[in-house]
Amino acid sequence: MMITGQVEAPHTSVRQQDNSSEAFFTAVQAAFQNAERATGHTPERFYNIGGYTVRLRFAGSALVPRIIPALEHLATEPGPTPNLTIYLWDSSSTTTSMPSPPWNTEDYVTRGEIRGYSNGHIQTAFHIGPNILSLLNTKLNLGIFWIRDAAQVPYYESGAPLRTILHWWLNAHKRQLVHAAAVGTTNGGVLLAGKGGSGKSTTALNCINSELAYASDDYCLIAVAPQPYVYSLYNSAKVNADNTHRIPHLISAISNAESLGEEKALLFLNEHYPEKVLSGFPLRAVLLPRVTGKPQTKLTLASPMAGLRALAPSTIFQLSGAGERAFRMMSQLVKQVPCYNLELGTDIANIPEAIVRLLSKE
Amino acid sequence: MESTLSFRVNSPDVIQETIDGEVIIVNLGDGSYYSIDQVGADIWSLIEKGHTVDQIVGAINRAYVGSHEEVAQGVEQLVTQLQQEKLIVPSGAPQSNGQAELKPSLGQDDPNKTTFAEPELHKYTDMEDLLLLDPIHDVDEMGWPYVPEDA
Repeated sequence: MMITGQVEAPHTSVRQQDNSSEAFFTAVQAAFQNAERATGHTPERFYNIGGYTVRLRFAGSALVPRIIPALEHLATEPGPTPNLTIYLWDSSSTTTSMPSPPWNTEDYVTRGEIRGYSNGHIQTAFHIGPNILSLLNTKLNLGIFWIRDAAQVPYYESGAPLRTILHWWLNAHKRQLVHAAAVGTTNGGVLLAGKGGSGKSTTALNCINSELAYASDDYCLIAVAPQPYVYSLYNSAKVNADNTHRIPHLISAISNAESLGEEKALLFLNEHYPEKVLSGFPLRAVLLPRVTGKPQTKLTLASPMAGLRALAPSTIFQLSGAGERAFRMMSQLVKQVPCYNLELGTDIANIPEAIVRLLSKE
Repeated sequence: MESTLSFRVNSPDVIQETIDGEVIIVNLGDGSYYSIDQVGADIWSLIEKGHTVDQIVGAINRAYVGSHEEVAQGVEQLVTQLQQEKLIVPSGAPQSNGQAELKPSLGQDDPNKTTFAEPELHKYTDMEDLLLLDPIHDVDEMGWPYVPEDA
């Protein structure tokens, strides 16, 4: 059956929708428990994410290698009271089917959101394409991740796993996921903000060859109190296949070399350079990279509004449910730390030197 | 334009932040974002407070140096643009009674008054593709979407 086009969904009262989303969450939770029993094997992993303990509980092992590599630099000791638990399972390896969606096909809207199924304490999203279902119950501090077949987890999801669930939960706990790269030292570092192609990923990866360490190339977490702070979320990096010549020192770390015809190069830096991956640092400045074609790298002061324009739209447009609270936190951030245009020169070694000089002043 | 009309921000799709007199507006409905500064930012702040078009024209007239006709035309033009972009919608009765004022309030002949310039709404559409609706999909026997390999 081919579904195209949009049809107005029939009106449903808010209370009915609350009951529907809660009922669906309960049904999926029960399906996960069936999947656990079917496999008889429930590996768990614990991570310190944004200062909170997050437990991942898998039904079977099929999803483990697709999910954990990007998070391993944040691994922490198991504990009895994690702040957030996420159940993960797939139907194929657990031979357990998922209940049918209770919504209509015309209820799928942008950012993976489903009309009427994110309200009160339940958040629901289904991202068509990777075909991943994400659920969160904030009363239970319980998230659920489901995909039809673990083998179908796309490379970009492996590079930034559980982004939707983590964004929802952390956003309500004073941590905001942002679309930005981050480099620095334990004494302090910078965010690199800008849309795709601005040079932030390549800049972040080139800093690995310097005294700077790496916290992110695409997504990280920010806090604005008690001081502006960056938390690393993923130790992965993605580089366009035709740009890998810009990171010769990292070629051997590419995890999907055989797929570069269809995929970006995906690297898990913690596997090869764990000493160069930081879990976080105090934020000293927001940099807005721009390729200039000139030899030298220069920093020029930018306005807080320029920083917000570089950071907020690309963050908000990518995250299910992101709105005023996310916008407000990013706005607070650019008022707390200076913003600079990072005019990238062609002399690559010059780039981290410019950032180090800035950090020594800030 | 009816001068007794007032408007409200078209939330929840439209969100905004103001820094140092410049406004950035994000439209979650279509992936566009906008910036307005100076006179435009002042007009936006008065719209947010629920003032009518008439009240806004009066406040801008008092805050800037310019003819009433110039100011009225500029205000109405921006309000029309904001409506066309679905950033504001009519709100019915005005939420704010009495005279609208911008802070600080300057006297008629105050030399610190700025000359009125036509407000500009800058629109950015470079992120629209992030908000594209999901690709054409099939659904399996349980009703879950998937993208056929040849799509």
